Amino acid sequence: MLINKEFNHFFDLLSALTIKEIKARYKHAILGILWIFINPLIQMIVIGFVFSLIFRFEVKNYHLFLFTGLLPWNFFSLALNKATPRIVWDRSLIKKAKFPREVIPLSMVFSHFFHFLASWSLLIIFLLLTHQFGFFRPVVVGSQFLAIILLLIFTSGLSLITSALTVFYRDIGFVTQAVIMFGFYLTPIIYPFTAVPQKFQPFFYLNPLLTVFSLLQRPLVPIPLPTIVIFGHVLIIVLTLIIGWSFFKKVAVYFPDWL
Amino acid sequence: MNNFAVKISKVSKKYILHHEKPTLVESLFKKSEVFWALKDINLAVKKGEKLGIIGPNGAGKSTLLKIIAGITIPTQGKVETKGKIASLIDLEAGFHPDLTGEENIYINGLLLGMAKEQIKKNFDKIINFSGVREFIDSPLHAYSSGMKLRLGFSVAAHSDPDILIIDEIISAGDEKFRKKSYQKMQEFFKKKKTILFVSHNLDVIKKLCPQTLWLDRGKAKILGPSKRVISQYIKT
Repeated sequence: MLINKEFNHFFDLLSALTIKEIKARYKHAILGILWIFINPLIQMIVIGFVFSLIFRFEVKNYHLFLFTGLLPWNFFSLALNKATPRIVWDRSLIKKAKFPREVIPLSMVFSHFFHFLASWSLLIIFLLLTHQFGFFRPVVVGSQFLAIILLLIFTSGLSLITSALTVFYRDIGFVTQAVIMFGFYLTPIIYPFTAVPQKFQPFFYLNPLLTVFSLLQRPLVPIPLPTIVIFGHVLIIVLTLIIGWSFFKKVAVYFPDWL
Repeated sequence: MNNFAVKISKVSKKYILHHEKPTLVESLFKKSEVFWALKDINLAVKKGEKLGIIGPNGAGKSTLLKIIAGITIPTQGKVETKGKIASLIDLEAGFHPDLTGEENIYINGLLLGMAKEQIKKNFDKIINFSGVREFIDSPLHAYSSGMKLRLGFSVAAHSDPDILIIDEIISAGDEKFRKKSYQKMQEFFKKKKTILFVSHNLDVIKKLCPQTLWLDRGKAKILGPSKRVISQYIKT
């Protein structure tokens, strides 16, 4: 009963803070909530026209390949970059009341996830308009759904770790930024995994996002990964959340002393 | 003794002194200095008791309140509390300047541990008490600082706590609101709430709290009837 009550309160608080984050962002913009769609639209136009003219890999429908990779990557990098310093920014909250601290980084992740879903729904409309029905096969929808869930789990787990560490070491924000920058090029997003030279491929196996992006881009390029690698990545992603959360819980009691 | 609300045994709180926030490199090579904000505090507050806490700046009053509120944990010792605690500390924290008063009430209430239904139920009371009804749809940056404080106090005051922790905020707002919050406090007193009250205003403490704890440099100097403790405190 008490557990249930606590869980409800956690959920209410998390959704209130997530909505706050989304609302506050568009409150005083004249176009308001429309920006949720305008932003990704502009982004897709830029990607579609400019990016795909400059870079070219042997991928059919390269612009679609880019959309399906870049939109989720944007979510991942933005959410992680914004969530990491968040506890330090919200120090007055931490010192004011006792509440589950996890809601601070997680609300950042979820508000960006909301933005991502908006951009993803635009992509779906685009796919329908351009008759890309290959994207709507159940197996594709299924693997993309799985990939998005995995990405959400991974982002949540990582942001719990980085936001907590930032309280003790302010350097973590810079480290995260740098790693994300490298990660962009070390993850097959703007190029297919098959373009990676054979001898380097095992190194790429260390990156759990490889599975996420392979699943996302499945209708355009085959998934070249051994099954064992895929399972390994899923395991790493789930463990990241479990370890991240328990680490966060463990150190969260010391936050007020360091802020 | 089974009817206590707060029981603290041998509580100490150590802070590591940082002259600058440590960077990764510094923290590996520099030895840290420590500072005991509280040392061996024992305290038992009965249910319904009102305890004033006084002492000079840096005596550890706020640290003690934060430990009791569960905001921070003691380095040593044990803290037991019974019932829901509301802390009237830093009332404006958690307000978002771009959101309306209404939206902020909701978020602030949740942060203070109120349930969604409880906030909805008390919504009108909170607005009425704060006296900012005509501004409730405006973003918070349009509020004066007094209005923000009143709203913050009002939310916390309506969270229906069993234990109320107050850190020097009774002086919030103008004369009219001060009277109102003083009345609200009295209401809490009548309801047999447990109250822990830090203030430099010795008269208010004398009026509201039968018992007073005098803290000095992290140690409990005297605990006893307010009149006696305060008269000794004034002498120093």
